[in-house]
Amino acid sequence: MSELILRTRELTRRYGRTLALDRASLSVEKGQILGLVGRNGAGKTTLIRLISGQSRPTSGELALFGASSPSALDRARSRTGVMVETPAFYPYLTAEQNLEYYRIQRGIPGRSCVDEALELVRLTGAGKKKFKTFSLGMKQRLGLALALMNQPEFLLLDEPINGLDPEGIVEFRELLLRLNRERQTTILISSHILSELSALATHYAFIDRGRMLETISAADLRERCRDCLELRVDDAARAAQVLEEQLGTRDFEVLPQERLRLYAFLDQPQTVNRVLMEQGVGLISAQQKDSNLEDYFLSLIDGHSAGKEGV
Amino acid sequence: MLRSIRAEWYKAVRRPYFPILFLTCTLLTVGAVYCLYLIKTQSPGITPIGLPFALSLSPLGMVMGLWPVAIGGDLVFSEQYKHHTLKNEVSFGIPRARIYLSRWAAVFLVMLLLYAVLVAVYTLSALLLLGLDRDPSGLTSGGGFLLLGYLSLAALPIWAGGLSLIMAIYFLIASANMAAICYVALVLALPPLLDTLGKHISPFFQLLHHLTLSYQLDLLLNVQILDWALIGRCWLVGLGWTAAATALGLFCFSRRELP
Repeated sequence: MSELILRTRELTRRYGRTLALDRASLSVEKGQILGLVGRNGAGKTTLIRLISGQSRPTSGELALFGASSPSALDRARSRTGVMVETPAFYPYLTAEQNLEYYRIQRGIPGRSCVDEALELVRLTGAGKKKFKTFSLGMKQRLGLALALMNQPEFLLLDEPINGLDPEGIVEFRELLLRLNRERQTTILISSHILSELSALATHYAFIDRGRMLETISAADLRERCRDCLELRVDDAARAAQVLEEQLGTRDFEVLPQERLRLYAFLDQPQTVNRVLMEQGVGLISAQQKDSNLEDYFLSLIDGHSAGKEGV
Repeated sequence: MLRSIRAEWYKAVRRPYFPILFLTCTLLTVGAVYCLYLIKTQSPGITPIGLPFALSLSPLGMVMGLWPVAIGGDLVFSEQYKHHTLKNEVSFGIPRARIYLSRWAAVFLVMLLLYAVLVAVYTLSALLLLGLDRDPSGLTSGGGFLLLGYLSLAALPIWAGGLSLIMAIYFLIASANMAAICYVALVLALPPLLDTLGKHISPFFQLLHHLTLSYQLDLLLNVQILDWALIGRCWLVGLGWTAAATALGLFCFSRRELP
């Protein structure tokens, strides 16, 4: 079994009456790149802030590298690299001085790690410039340099590609993949740009309105996102029975709101239609689909909302 | 802890604020001695003004010591909430107590250095501009230095109390300006308020007034002889404020949601 890097159980954070995170349970194993997917205000940043210690949970458990007591968590956090929201540095210090300040504070031996971190994020030429003169993209790169300076075993990145130009995004993606491949760095990354996440993640966690909806591996997601025939019927349970008994297939899944996703008979929609009609199942619509991460996420939160409304 | 103090020092001395603070205070100190020089040269015969006389004025400097600590605190801490830099340290797993105390220690070191520089500048400029003329009270240069040492010993814990108070306020209030205003209000307005309440409502307030930092420093204004009981009291009050303000600041900061 792989080493467990992060485990949260029923983690909850409440701000006054607002429930920012609602009993979120999540596990991240060594070597995974977990993409955290959710809308604005879904609770992604709250979760990362709780893991990084910037915020304290209202209830629930959090374990990092197996450590869960406050002091042990602090020690475990020294093995992580974090970039949450906008990178924060002292504007009156240069990029080098900012990194040197944190190097001294964290007790990282050798001044060379500052230059290496700057080189890793392609900021070598800007080391002597004051942070206040940096563009947003440069600030993001410096934030990443800080997160990488201690060669972390676990990287927590919240919207890290905001402000990066297209070239920077590609470089950034390659850097993360390289770190994951060569150093076995475990990564938890949230992003609005789902196409970017899909180029990186080995696993996904979907979050909406503070609740963790689902965690799934990229392989399983690909399986679920393959071409399908999406059927909307008047009785999904009965339709499932008909598909099994009359068409002899179990290659389908039942979705909320009387929908089914059929992965077989894609080239014979008329047959499916006819069999369902013959067995008294009302077919409202049938649509050929090739969904992606975005579609999957949207259908997931739609289903979740419908489920909630149903309750 | 030492690493964090070193890092704070590294940061503080690289702020433009640092040389500006030292230069301004040095110029003000030289300016004060120059005023004495003008009095000496333009109104001869009033009183013999020399180094001993200049040293006899040191209690005034002790009283003013509560204000530079607010500036020193600002130099090391200011705008941390505005720039959100504290979140980095917390994310690296640096305990909040260490974050808090390292800043306290860094301000203390900056203030000690500033004090040493100002005493040296004051003494040197007084020696150069005023000479060694004997004070009418009979105070010699040696006696003046003894008085300065004694007053420094008494004022040090009071300043530490003021420093602890301003650090607690900086950690509690996100706006540096608002924090400074709160500090000034506590140091400047609280003692006369307690004094008035003590006179009109209950002697208990008078007792509280006697425990304020400003009251202790005011006592030093009239000191001419070595009074070890006063020094002891200054240490008790100063350390009391230091412990109370630091405990309160640490307690609140350890529970604070970082922006």
